[in-house]
Amino acid sequence: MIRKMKKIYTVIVVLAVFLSAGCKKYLDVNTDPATPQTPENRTLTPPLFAQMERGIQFDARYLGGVIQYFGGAVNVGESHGWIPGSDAMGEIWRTNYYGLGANLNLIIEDSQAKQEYNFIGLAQALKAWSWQTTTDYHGEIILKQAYEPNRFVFDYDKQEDVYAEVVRLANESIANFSRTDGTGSVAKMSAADLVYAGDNAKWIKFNYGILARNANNLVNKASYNPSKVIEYVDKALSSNGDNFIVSNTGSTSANGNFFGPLRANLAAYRQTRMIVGLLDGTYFTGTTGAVIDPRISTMVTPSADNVYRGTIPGFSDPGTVALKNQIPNPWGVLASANPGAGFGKYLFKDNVGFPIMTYSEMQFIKAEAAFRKGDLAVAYAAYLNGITSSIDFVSTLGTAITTTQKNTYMTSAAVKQSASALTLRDIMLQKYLALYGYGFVETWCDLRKYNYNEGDVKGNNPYAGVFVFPPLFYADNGGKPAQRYRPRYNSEYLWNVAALKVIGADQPDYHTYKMWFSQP
Amino acid sequence: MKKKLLLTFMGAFLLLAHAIAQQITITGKVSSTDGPIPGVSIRVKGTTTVAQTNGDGNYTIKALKTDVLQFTYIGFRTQERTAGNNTSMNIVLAADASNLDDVIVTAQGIERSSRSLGYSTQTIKGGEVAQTQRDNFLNALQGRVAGATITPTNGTPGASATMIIRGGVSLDGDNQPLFVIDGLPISNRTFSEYNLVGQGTFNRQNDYGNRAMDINPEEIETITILKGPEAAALYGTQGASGAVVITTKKAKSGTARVTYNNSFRVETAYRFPDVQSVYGGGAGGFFDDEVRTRTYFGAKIPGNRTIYDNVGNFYKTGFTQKHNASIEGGSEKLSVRTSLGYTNQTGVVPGTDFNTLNGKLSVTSTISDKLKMNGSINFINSKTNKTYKGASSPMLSSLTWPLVDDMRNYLTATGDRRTITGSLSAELDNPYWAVEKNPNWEKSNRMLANFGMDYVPTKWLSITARGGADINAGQGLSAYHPQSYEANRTSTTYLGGGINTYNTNERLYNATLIATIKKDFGKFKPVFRIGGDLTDASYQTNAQFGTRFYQQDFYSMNNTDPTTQRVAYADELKRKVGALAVAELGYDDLLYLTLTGRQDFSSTLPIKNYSFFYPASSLSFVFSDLAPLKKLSWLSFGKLRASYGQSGKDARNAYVTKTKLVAQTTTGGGFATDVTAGNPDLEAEFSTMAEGGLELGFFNNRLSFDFSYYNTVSNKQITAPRLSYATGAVLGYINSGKIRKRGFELLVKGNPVKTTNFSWDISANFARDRGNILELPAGQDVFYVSDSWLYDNVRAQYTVGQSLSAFAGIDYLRNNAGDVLINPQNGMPIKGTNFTPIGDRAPDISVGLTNSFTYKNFNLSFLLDMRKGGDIYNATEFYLYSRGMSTLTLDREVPRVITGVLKDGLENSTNPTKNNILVTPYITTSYYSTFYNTRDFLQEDVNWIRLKDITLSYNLPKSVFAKSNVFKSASVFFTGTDLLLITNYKGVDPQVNGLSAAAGGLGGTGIDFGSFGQPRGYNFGLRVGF
Repeated sequence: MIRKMKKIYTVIVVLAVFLSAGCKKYLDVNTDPATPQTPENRTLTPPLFAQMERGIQFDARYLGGVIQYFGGAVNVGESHGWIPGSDAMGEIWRTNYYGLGANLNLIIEDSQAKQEYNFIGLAQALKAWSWQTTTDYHGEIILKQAYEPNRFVFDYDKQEDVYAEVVRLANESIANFSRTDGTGSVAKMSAADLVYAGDNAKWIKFNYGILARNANNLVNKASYNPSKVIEYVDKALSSNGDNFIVSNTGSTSANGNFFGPLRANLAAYRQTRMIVGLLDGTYFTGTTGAVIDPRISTMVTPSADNVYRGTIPGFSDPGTVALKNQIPNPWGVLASANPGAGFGKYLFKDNVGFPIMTYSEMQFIKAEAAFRKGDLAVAYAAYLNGITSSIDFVSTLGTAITTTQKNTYMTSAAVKQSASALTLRDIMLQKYLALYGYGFVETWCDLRKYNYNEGDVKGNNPYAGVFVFPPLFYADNGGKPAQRYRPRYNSEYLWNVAALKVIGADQPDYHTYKMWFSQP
Repeated sequence: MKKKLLLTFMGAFLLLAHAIAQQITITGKVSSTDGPIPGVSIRVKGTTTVAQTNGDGNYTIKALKTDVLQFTYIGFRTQERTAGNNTSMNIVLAADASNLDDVIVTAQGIERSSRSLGYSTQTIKGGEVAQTQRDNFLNALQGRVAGATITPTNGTPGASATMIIRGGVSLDGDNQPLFVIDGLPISNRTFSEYNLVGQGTFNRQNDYGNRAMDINPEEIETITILKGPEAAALYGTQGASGAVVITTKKAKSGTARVTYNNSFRVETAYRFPDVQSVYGGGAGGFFDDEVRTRTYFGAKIPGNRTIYDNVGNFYKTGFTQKHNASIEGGSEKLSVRTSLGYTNQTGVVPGTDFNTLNGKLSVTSTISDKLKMNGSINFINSKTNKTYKGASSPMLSSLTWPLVDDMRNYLTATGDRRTITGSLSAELDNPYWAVEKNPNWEKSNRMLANFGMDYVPTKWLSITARGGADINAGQGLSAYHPQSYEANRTSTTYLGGGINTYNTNERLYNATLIATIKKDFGKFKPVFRIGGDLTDASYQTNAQFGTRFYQQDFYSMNNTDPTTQRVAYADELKRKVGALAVAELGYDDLLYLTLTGRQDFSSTLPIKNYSFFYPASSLSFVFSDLAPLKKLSWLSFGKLRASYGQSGKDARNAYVTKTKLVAQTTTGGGFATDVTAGNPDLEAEFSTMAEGGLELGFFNNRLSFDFSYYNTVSNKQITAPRLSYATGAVLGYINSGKIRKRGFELLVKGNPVKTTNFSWDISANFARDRGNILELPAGQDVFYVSDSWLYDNVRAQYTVGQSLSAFAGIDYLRNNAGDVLINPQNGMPIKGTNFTPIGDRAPDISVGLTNSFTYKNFNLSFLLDMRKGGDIYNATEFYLYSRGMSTLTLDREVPRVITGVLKDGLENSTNPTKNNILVTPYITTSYYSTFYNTRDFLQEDVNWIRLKDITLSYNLPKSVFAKSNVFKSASVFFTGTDLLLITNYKGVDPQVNGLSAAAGGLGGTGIDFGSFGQPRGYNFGLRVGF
């Protein structure tokens, strides 16, 4: 009996030893063999660019209607409305916090340990860009408490604070790209950096571009400093070669341009009367057809009768006669058809890159700032640069535009021929045209700075007579145009309701509340 | 030293020889009033020496004269006899209608007498389940087990079924019980579409079998359902949602016995949604003469048009054949049982079928008096051809096909897909075309192996060890033809034809070891058990996706454009180790106190929190054995029981302690953080359960009651709720949430009539379960399961203070007095924007009623499955309504003023303006297509009575076989399944699930969207014994 007890005792001891020591090792298998869980800056970087375009392009389906880059009365966009209980119009929000945010934090963490400061610079530049875009789109957002571990309810911060954070981040990014210590190198970053291939100088220019946008949005503020804007632009993108373009392979729906036929998002949309009017001489000369912009055939498409037409906000295609006066969609085809993978035109093709920032935009920012400063010569030079660089850019996206065509246009009545003749209207409308199909948020900022077609506090009203409101605003608007979009429904409207009430985002007309940046 | 060893060895040998010398061989026959009973187990008490009666009820066993023999058989009272000088012992076992004295195989294979259990269990006989002829045996348990709800996903062959015991408690995790076969857990996994490239349709439009359905019901001896806390305490984390403990048929010694049975089943579709046949296609009251639309807001169908019964024509008669054969026999030392089952089933939906081949071999051996071993191996091969359900399913398409067009005409002259609208992207596929051109199948090759050993070194100690493997290779394909709607609709991912395929590899190793120490001290009969178990589970999936078919009608990944091909690979390894100790303190077979403790170690938790302990206790008091009560002749049994315990649960998924980086398919590739954030601080979640019960037997147990009440509080649940994106993720794993469950179960059994030729048995079970949300993750007010948000704005949503099974939806806006607000511009109601609780899926009470009548050689038994209350979201009706096909739209020509007040600024004043705007839906069809109220399609308080199954069988009298050398027994039977459904539900079938069994939480139960109802089944068959 005693011997048996001893045996049992031994078994128990062996069991106990196994359970305590061997057990821990046996159970330490909680590392995924299929999916990495240890972040590395180089592998996290390539998807960031796709996220940047994703946010803008998804939301452009609605915002495009507000700013009249897209027509056809496809959704509530053109009536400046919103969709209750929906994530629609919340993609920029998703990009900022999830698509970019969480990944940028990991890149910074990993790069800090590796002392690869250029990766930190890259992450900070994208953060700066994303905060700027997100606040320009949503207004008040979560800034200070974002990403705090074990926090599930967040306070919203003022737009002013976000603007300041963008300045801080862009400057830090510039500092990091300027560092010569550490182990970061162009070679380490070039393959992962799908836009600038690790070129520090170009990233520094991009940062200045963000700073220029940031400062240029504040024209109605007492603190507005046009000299600073000009200074930023001069350090920003200096040619089309510096353009920040997110490339799209275009072989699958996952790697194809969201605006391409493969993704099939734009079939029901139509080109607008405003874009057509800017290209066919209507708004620049007052006479339709007086001057035809050489960009016209690439950017828009004529109806079957060879007349260029566009839709009026809030109205669908009025084309009544098939193959005659129907208005084409952005792909250039009639009756909401899809031309098929690989087709389309301009920025609406499967494998075309999506511009996040262009040299042309920078020059128009400079032109506006110099004009407001009273430095007409600088303004005029920048204005001309803006137009020519836009023509050069568009020339690569369709039928090449010859130098002769370009010169003809530059000397036509559509372009002011002297500094003294230049007006804000020329600058802003040419900018509007140049940013067609990509500068959705920037163009919206411009429109809101000038209160659409009502003008700013100083009486400047560059869009008067060109930009028109839809005949009827969305019912909740109370007759007012849209000024912002709500935070993403499935992120905030269930989990962060108390904070939303503080900023009024629970109100049905919240989207008509004016932004801090557009107010004096 | 060597000499000493030798002497010891010799001594031991002599002792053994002496013992053998004293053994006698006892033979005899065990019978009941109905004749010999095969398979009765005869055990030499306190040892592992066991024998079984053969097919004629005869047995042989070796024992010492002083030994006590125990004769046990399920459904009969156990008898004990001392061997003495008897070499022949004939035993007559008395039937025990209430099973109160049964030996029950509980958790970890521990056999305990039912009287000693302090928690509720219920045992179902395998024969009863097999007799229902279900292809998925889980469906046979609905109504038979108190407190268990089994919801089939679809009415097509090979469909999955979800089983939830006591309503479930997990918000978004797995609420299904653990399945255990012969002491070892097996996998009941349902393939989740989250493993597909792009995550498929989130388990909404396709179904995959739940793998417990691989078990051949003909091979099941008994099924015991464990519900209480002790099951959880013994099985650990895996058993926290209850356990289904299956004991399979074991080899019986004796001359070879061969049985064969078959069943032929005819099934027909039962119940369709009503559609209106008055108004034709068109808009604004204009009939589209050329039939170019699939919305039905046109004028009345002209009388000269032929009306086709498209829905009726579509369904066909399903046919099933089933064959099962078994051979068993052998000596006491070694006996073998082998069986083979084959099922070939075609469903009522064309193109759906299910095929399975199931082979099993089991061996039982007695190595010595002290050592017994047994093993089994089971191979299952199955293939299911399925069709899609839910959105874009043949079901919804058949209901919205124009009645004036013959749906059977599905190809154009050139062999292309024929459409009504003229556009491939504007309408659902013709159902005939869809089932032929959009293949959808799954296959499985599975092997289960089980090896067990019982070792009894001394009279007071026994050790049981068991080890096994469950290995399954699965494969599946679902494709859409290039001309399919799914391949052409806006922003489809199947452009040009698409194909999703996957391979799975599942491996489950399990081992348990339990040492039992038993020693009686007079009236004290304590039993101590210590043991441990180990689970090593690996699951790999490889999924592939490709689009743009080269050849139109060829369904292979090799036929897709390589630039579109994508893969998804997942590999999960989970390990668990547990140590347990149980003390069963019995006093005089009257009072039993069981104390259990379990320490678990799990690989899915962070190492710092990977170990956790939880205790349980239970008390059983058989008060009817108290001297004063024993005298009462009308009271045959009385037991009070109570149990209280905790159970811990680890994380359901591996690798959730850190955020995953997911491969990106965007330009340039790379990795990005997953939508769900990991959590390095996760800890085990705990449930505290309390249960009380009373068992009573009257009149020699011809009437018995078993009542249980339970209360469970689950705290710090590991959930992955949606969170503010400001966390850096869309969802995140966190420990939080508090849920309380309460409910009762009542089991009543009776044997009102019992004569020589006629007997009537009746059994009824009643159950009610209520779950309440006390706290939600991260202090949130609401938490919804996004997969359940599958059609319009209704979803399963948890709200603090509300039911666990609540539906939330968007209602019309109302003023402070509750009147609907009306838009003054068009007279239409204004829809709200917020989800508010609008219903509850949980029934008030569910009842299962079984009746069995035996007259001579005839037996008639049937099961009624009944339910009272519980709401169902009839999304199918809603779908038809918004397209003008629902019968609810028939009064469309009647002008009406929608009851409500105008939203004119006065709506909340004392004098709101009553709506006076006249609307005629016939003209203003947006009344149906836009201004519907989702809430109207939530049908409240659905009741049903379902004739779940009915069997009539006839045993051919023994005299028939008297002269035959081949046949020993034969019976013929008829079984009908789902023959009758009486319900106030307007849709097809109220027992419905909008998601597959892979969904978490309470899944899609109560959501009816494009699911095929259960068909009526008529089975005929025979059983023969050789």
